[in-house]
Amino acid sequence: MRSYLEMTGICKTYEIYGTQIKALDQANIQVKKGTVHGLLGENGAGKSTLMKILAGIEKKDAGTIYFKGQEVELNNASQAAALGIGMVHQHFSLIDEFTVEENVVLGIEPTSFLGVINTKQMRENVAKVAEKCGFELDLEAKVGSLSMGQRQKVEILRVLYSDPELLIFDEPTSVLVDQEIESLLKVISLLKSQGKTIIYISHKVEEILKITDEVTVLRAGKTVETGATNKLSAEKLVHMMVGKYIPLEVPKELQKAGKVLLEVRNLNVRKGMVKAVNNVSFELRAGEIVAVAGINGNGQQEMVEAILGFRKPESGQIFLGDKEITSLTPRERRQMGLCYVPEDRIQVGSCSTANLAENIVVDRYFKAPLARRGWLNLKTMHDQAREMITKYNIKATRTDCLVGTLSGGHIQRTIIAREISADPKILIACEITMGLDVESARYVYDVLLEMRKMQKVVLLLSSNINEVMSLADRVLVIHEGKIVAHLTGKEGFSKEEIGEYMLGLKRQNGIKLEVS
Amino acid sequence: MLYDQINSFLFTIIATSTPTLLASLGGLMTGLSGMFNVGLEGMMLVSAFFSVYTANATGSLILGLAAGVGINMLLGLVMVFIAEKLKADIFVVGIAANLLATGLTTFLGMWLLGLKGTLLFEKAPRLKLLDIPLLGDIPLLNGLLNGHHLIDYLGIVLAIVLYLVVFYTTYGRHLRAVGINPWVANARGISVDKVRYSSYLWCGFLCGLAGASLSLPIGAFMGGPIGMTNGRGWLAMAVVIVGQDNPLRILLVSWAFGAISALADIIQATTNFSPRLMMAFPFIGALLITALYSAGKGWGRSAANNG
Ligand SMILES: Nc1ncnc2c1ncn2[C@@H]1O[C@H](COP(=O)(O)OP(=O)(O)OP(=O)(O)O)[C@@H](O)[C@H]1O
Ligand SMILES: [Mg+2]
Repeated sequence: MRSYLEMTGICKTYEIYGTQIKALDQANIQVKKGTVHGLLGENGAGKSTLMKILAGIEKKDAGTIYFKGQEVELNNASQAAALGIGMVHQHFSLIDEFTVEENVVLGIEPTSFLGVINTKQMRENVAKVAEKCGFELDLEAKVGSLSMGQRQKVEILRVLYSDPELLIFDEPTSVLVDQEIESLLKVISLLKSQGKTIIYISHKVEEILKITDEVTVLRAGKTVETGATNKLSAEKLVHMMVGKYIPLEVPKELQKAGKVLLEVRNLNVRKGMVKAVNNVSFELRAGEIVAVAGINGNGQQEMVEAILGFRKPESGQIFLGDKEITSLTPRERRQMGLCYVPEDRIQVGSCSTANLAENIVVDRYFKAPLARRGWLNLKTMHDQAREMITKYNIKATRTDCLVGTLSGGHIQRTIIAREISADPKILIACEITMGLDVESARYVYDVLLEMRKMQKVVLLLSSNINEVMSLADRVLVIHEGKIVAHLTGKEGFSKEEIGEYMLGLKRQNGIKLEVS
Repeated sequence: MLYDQINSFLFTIIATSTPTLLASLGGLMTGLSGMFNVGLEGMMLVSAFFSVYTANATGSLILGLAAGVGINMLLGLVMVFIAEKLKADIFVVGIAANLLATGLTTFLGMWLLGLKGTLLFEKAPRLKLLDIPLLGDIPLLNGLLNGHHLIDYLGIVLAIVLYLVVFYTTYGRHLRAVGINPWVANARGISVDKVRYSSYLWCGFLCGLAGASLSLPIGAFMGGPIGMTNGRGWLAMAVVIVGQDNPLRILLVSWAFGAISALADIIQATTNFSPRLMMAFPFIGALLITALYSAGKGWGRSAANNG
């Protein structure tokens, strides 16, 4: 008797300029009906590739797939969809120019006659599904205008809309905050109770322990372990994922904050009709990690963009050290040591169609030693890229492979490599460990703590509350464009307290924003 | 008197902008699929030749029209095939189509008729001006709306139909999705290839009508580098850009461009401005409009970002 889903001996090799990349090498997975199955593995292990094959988006080179006892050929996405297989993609499959509802129904639009889209029906259907999941979304907003967290919900909604019986979630919680993760996990349990089967990819150990029944672990394209979750501990799980022991707690030494490196004074930013940032002031001092906590879409993104010079503030001033930078260009600010890891790694952080070396030098190609009298020194460029590949452990065989062909975690590493190697004084890090496996996330924490030790400053925007708790010296909580709380380590802060401020249930009076 | 003059001026605009309108609608469909066709000029030329040649050979207008349109649709399929399957850049394929069209029509003229330059097809039935009673009855506008060629009416009807297709049907939505992000479209089970082929079929069809609308009314064909298309295919590309992916806007923009050429004709006839310079007038006008439009759009975008 075969399992509900069996993928055996799956191989997939990509070729880049003659170099073979084995993404999957005889990978196997067996999933039982009505269970939640965790798919684990370090960055670049082949998780997304295996699932894309199951969703009919990539073609396998070898191997067999049995679904409900039948051998199936999955040549395109509609074949998989017809069998009832749906996938929430790691890098969203959404069209920015379309509205939420248009994205949700894309490919399976309800029609009235002659292929004319039945807008009313579409609206009703989508609203119904959104309500069922408890997602609050403006269904008529263009996806391009949404935050990453909101887009993640659209992506999930999109899959639920087609009501598949086997659902694949590829790192669905990377950009969601605690409460949102809670509600997603609830939705997943609900789906399970309805008899659906779920394959769940995540690097977050707690989630895996909480919702999966069984796990399969991939390493370098091969299946290395598989088993029932309730026999595992967090340590064992991490060990299975990366093949070695990683301490989970982050050591942070006490240290006194130095002089002010960045100051924001009465910043107001307007986005269209709404006031996205409302009279925000704060300062960041040398040797600090300061977190901005807030539910997605409460103005943190606009605030960051104003500080970086991507967005013109309505009023207010920004100082780097004692120099005002409010009217400088982004490049000028960058040259002064202001660096940025954006949350949207695909559209803002990197250029998928440029190669790895180009992505690394994009902020410095015009300066020596990369350029002399307007001529690029390509050899130096590739040498530098090679150095980064080793130092940041980027899984890329060549420096001229396109960044779009890297796995999600390795794209993230490429961006981090570029930003850290720019030697920033101030690093604005948005979801910096998004999609990183446990070991690499640990490495990034070490890098950030090292920056802190070197009297630099990190402004940390993260939806991961544990990350905030273990790294930040201070927390600014933003709600509806206003800083509603300023929590310093001394007074101590709890998860619950931050959560209450984030949701706007509570607000501090007379916030003091300087550190003594 | 003034009324008559305005009326005849507007009438000319509708009549002369048809080829540009149809070609730009064709360009629009390919642009929406993400593979903008720069071979509009060539397509029109091919259809202008084959439609009038076939009409001459068979004595049938319908067959002539069908031949021009049919061969163009075939050409469109070949173009996508070369781009999608043989991995050539669609831009280069479009340029090649333009060069091929000039050469092919000249060669066929020599081979089939032994003539170069202007080819007269005396046996070809002419496309006649229509007298539609319903339109003729509308007061004030009757002079303007009535008495055009069949293809002129088709052009306007098609602009409206395409507007509905692009914005209100699944086909239109999939077409736009493929153009914006083929990867996403593919992941949703939309066949990117099919959509692209279909967009070139549309383009072939529309440019086919555009070409036929040049040669069938006069029963003649002018080949060579400055053939009877006379740069309309290039102008159409500007129309697509200014028309912002919207068929109805494209209709208005081609009328605006048509107005510029009509104005040029009037100036040429009534003043002693250099006629050569006047021939460049529509293109200079198009250039200015496109440049102003693009600058305006750039400004609009940065304002939207900051605002
Ligand atoms: N289109 C492609 N072209 C070339 N190589 C690719 C392509 N897609 C994936 N790869 C390679 O296949 C390997 C596996 O990638 P995959 O995206 O499946 O990893 P993953 O397990 O999902 O990792 P992550 O946790 O970082 O998302 C990687 O080395 C990646 O570079
Ligand atoms: Mg992945």
